[in-house]
Amino acid sequence: MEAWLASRNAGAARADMSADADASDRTEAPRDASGDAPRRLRALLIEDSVHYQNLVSMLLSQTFPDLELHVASDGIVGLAMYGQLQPEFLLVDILLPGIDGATLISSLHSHPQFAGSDLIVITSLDEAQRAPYAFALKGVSVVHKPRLVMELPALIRERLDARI
Amino acid sequence: MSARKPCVLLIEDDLSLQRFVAAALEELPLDLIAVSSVDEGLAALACEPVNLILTDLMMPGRSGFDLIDALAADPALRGEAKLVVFSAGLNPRVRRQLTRPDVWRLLLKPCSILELEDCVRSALAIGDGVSTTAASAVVVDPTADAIGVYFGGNAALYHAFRASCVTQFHADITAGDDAIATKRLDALRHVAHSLKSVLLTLGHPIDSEQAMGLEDICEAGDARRAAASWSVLRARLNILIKTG
Repeated sequence: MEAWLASRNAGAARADMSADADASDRTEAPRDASGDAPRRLRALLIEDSVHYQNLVSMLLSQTFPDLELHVASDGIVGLAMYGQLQPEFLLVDILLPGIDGATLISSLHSHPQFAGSDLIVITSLDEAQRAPYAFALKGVSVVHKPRLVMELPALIRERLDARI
Repeated sequence: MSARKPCVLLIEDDLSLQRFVAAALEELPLDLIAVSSVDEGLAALACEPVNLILTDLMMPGRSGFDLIDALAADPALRGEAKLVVFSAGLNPRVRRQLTRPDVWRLLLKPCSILELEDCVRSALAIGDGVSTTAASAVVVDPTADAIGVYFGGNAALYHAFRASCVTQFHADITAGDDAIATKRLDALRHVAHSLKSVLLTLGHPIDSEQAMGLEDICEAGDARRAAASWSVLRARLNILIKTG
C-alpha cells in the first residue's frame, strides 16, 4: 500500500501562496494523532481536474492561509489519504476515476472517524445530472463548480465558526 | 438584382484562427475568403469586392494598420466593405489609434462564437444579430463579466486561475486527441465535462456550451459527431492558449 501510494503524485500539502491573511481565519488547532503537538487544520480535496485543483488551492490560500490543503486525484487514493490525514474538511468531486465520489462518500459515512469531518461536494453536474447520486448527497453541501469562488469560502467559514 | 451572397474577407495568419472563424460562420449565408497576409488580402480585394473585412493586427510582413492605410489611400479597392479589427492586442493606446470612421468595430480575442457571429450578422445586416451598433468602434470583452459573476470582483484570482488554465489546456488537448485516436468516447467525455465548467468560469459561455454539447454527443456514442465537435472545441482552446 505504501509503495502504491508513493507512486502517486498526491498528498503533498500545497505550497503556501501569498495571500491576505485574516486573523479571524485562525481557529484552535487540533492535536496530532501521534502526540500532543498541535497541528494546522487540514482539508483534503479529492478532485481529478487539474484546473479545479489549482483553483481550490489558490482560493483557499487567499481566504484560509492557515488551512493545510492536501490533494488526491482519484477516489481510491483519496480514501487512503483520508484515513491517514483525518482532515477536518473533505472536498469531493462526484465524477472521479477509481471510486466515484458518491460511492466514496457512502463508504466514508460508515467510518466512525468521518463524524469529525465536514464534507462539501464540488461538482460540474447540474441539479438534474446529480439525481443518480441523490442517495449520497442527502444533507450534504454541494457547490456547483462555476460558483466555487463565490460559495466555498462562506461554507468553510460557517463550519470553522461552528468548530470554535 | 443579384443573388450573390455577401462576402467576408478574413486576413489572419493563424490557421487555427482561420478554422475557428470558418466554423463560427459556416451556418451564415455568406462566402468567406481567408488569406494569411495583408498583401494577399489586398490582392483578393483587387479581384472582387467584399462586404466585410475581418483583419488581425499583428501579422508577418504588413500589419493591420498598413491595411487600413492602404485602403484609405485607395477607396475604390475597399468599396463598401466594413472593416472589423479582430485582435488580442487592443490595449488602450491601440484602441485610440483605431477609433476612426473607417474602422467599424473592434473585436477582442479571444471571443466566443456567438460574439463573432453577432458582429458579422450586424455588419452584413443578416437577421438575428443581437447588436445593431455601427459607425463607431465598440470593444467586446468576453471576460469582463466573469470576474464579477464568478469571482466576486477578485480580479487577481481570476487572472491567476486563467493563467493556470491556459497552461493546462495543452494537457486537455493532448487528452482529447488521444481519446479521439483511441476511439475512447468516455475519455473524451471526461475532458469535455471538465472544460464545460472551466470555460464558463472563465467567461466563455458559448465555448462552455460547445463542451457541454460534446459531452452529450460522447454519451450518445456518436464518434463521427464527437470528432467534429472536438475539432471546434480544440480550435477554441488553441485560441485561448495563444491569446492567454
